[in-house]
Amino acid sequence: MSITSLISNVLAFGFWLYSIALLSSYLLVGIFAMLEMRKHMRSSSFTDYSILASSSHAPGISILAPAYNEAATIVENVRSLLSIHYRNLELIVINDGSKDDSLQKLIDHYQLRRTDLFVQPRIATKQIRGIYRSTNSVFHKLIVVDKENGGKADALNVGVNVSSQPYIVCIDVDCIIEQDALLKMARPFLDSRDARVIASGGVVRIANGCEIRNGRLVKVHLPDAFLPRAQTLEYFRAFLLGRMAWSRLDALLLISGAFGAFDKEIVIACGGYNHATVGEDMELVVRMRRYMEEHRLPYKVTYIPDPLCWTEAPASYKILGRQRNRWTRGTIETLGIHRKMLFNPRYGRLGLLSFPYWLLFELLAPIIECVGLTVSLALAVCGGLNLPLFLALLGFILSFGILFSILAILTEVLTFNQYNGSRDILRLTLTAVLEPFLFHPFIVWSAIRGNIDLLRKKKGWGDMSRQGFAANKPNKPNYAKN
Amino acid sequence: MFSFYLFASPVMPGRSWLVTAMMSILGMLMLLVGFILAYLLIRRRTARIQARWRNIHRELVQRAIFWEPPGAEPAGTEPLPGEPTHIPVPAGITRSLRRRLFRQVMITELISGKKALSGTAAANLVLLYTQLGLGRDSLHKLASKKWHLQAQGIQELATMEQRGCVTRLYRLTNAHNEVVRREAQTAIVQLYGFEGLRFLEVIDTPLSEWQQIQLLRLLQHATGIPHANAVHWLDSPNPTVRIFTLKLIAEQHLQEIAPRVLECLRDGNESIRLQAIRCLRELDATDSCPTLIGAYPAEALAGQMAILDALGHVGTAAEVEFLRTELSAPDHRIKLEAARALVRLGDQGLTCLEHFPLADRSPWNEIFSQAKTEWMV
Repeated sequence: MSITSLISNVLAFGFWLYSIALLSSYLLVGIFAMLEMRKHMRSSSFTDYSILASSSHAPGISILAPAYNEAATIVENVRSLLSIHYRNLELIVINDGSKDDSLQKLIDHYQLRRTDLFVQPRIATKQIRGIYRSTNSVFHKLIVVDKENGGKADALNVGVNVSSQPYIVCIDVDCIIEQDALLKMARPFLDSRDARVIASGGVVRIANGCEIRNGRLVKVHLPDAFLPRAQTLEYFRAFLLGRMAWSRLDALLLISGAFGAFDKEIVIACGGYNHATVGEDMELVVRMRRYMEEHRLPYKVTYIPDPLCWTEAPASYKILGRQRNRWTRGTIETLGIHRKMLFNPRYGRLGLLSFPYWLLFELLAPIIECVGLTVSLALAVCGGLNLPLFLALLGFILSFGILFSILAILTEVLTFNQYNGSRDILRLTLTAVLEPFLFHPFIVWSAIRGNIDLLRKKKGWGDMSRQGFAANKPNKPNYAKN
Repeated sequence: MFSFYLFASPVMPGRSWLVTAMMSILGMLMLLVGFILAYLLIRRRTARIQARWRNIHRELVQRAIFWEPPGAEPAGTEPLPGEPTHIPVPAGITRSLRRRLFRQVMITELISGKKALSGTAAANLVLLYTQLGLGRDSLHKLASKKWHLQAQGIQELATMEQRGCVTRLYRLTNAHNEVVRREAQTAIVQLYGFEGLRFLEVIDTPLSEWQQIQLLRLLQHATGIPHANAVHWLDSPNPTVRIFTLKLIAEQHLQEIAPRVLECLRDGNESIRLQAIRCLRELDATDSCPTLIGAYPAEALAGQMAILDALGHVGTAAEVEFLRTELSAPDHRIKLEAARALVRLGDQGLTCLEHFPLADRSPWNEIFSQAKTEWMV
């Protein structure tokens, strides 16, 4: 056997082994998710969440909504957040040095007046310029903080400092939150008996194409455009299967920045959000878990699969590319910061399961895929590629991917079934078939660019303008979503 | 996120194996899509049928709500010959009740009606439930080995006030399955009020905070809690039972038990001490202030903040001096809580703040200003 042939076989065997491991992990994810989902659906069918809405024993929650250049929608978004059903609630909107008139709009509409609120800076942040409360008692839950621009993580840290409640819910201000979302999110914190629940994640769903009136979701529709529809399917896989399975294993590493609840005491003990990374949501969860593990404190990170938060997905390849680029950089940065946990038995299933999974199958997957295709192309050029075998393998892998998407659609249909029957399901099925050719290659390419940008030490989020839920909304640079 | 399409190896394994595997996956894929479409079709049909049934049931439920038993009006009148002594049910419904799903839709309608109503109307729905023999369905679920069916059965029996099965329900208050246990405990309290709380003496598993909130809600309008029982539960080896009892004492304003609550300030469990402080605050137990101040140094931050808060509610001028010293505590949160308490105490507290030597310096000026603003709001 020649050296070339040996290398080729070793490479091929390595890639094949990797593929089998990845496909097996997806199979396990599917099984675990289905089991956990069944348990959740059965259990929640007996739960009357409304008892919390009026109970004085419900834990206090502060919603932290950072806003940057959101003048076009801020008034409506805040109104929507103020209508959420929960008794012990404060809504803290943090104006992160917006260049537009976001603050003035809030002041005018909600009759805000600058107030004396003592803030103990338990986490270091940029300067607060002023704190405002409404003179109208109808808006007594609202606190608006005006601060110097410091980015989303810094704005959230200011919110943590200002918050007076034991639990915080961090959201994107332009997300649409279901009215009973907090009742459901509070439940895991109250239901735990042996271990402290330090964080709870919620599902984020795609709102493109949905009917939205006065900041509320009126009717759910499947997006007409391909890109948001492909993301709908992708979110099914990620939220209904992926996170549900990791939640069952109690090894969830990521809670979406668009909607997550945290135990404030632990957040502060960990030092709050890290503004040195663009993946501050994942980094915080990892740091909180690491803190609990290192202090040998029993804890849990839970997850609610109910559709509670709706967000606008990027509708253009340009914006989508920036988002995925940032997600990749955030993941690499987080895994880099906490590399000590990798394969470290001291961190239990976190170190031995979650971390290796994220490294091997989330971070390295696009790179391996890219390398694999390049090597195959090179072999094809050199005449060393067994084309029928290559096509058979490609077909096998693609069909498995489509199967996994269909499994996610099945899970949605059997549980929350938010879409309009057979027609939408067939459209989603078609999207699952087209996605590997029209969507996935772009996602891989964006992830590769994320790696390259990180090597070039590129920081920042990039312009993440969206179309907005309402028509005729101006597009200005604001925070990246999700 | 999942990125699950990976590199295609050019060498391994055999082509025929791969083709077979791919064909199997495609077959599974088609089966799944077929299953989804069939499921949606069946579900739509079932939903249509159930909607039709619900209309039929609603008519019957409405009739039951306004039904008056014979002789009910005028009082004491004997039923006329031939007057029905039970709620008249159309023959069609009686026939359809042989179908399990039809019965379940009926149970669901009766339960939602019962939850929304009270008095005679609600009693009539219970009567209809019994008359139609629907309790057998609920009991059948209770006997199931599946936890979710058991829990559903418990909920149905409790809502429809089936006190005859109390022994079976009581046995489940210490069940292994959490949901079954929770539903059984709720059911017993729903049926018997404070008397139902006797399960607190036997449970060896923790009462979650959620369950405590649920039980407190059920008991908020109940009266006549036996004091002796409450004192007894405060001695429970189960810490969550002690915490729940303290919440109950506070909700029911059981002033007589305040001395026993004070003893809880010496409990080894921090959560129980914290709850006892909150309880004393609700009981308005002014004479507890010296004990609270005595317990203060040994408490952690949360306990100290709770004590300062309690002193603001139950304290008198006698506590001003203690609160004044806490204005100099190193932790700003203590300073703020002490200032809040002083503001609550009225004129003497406010005078104390005004005469505090560092009142015009940061952070005291901001803290005092906030405490005063909060009080005004």
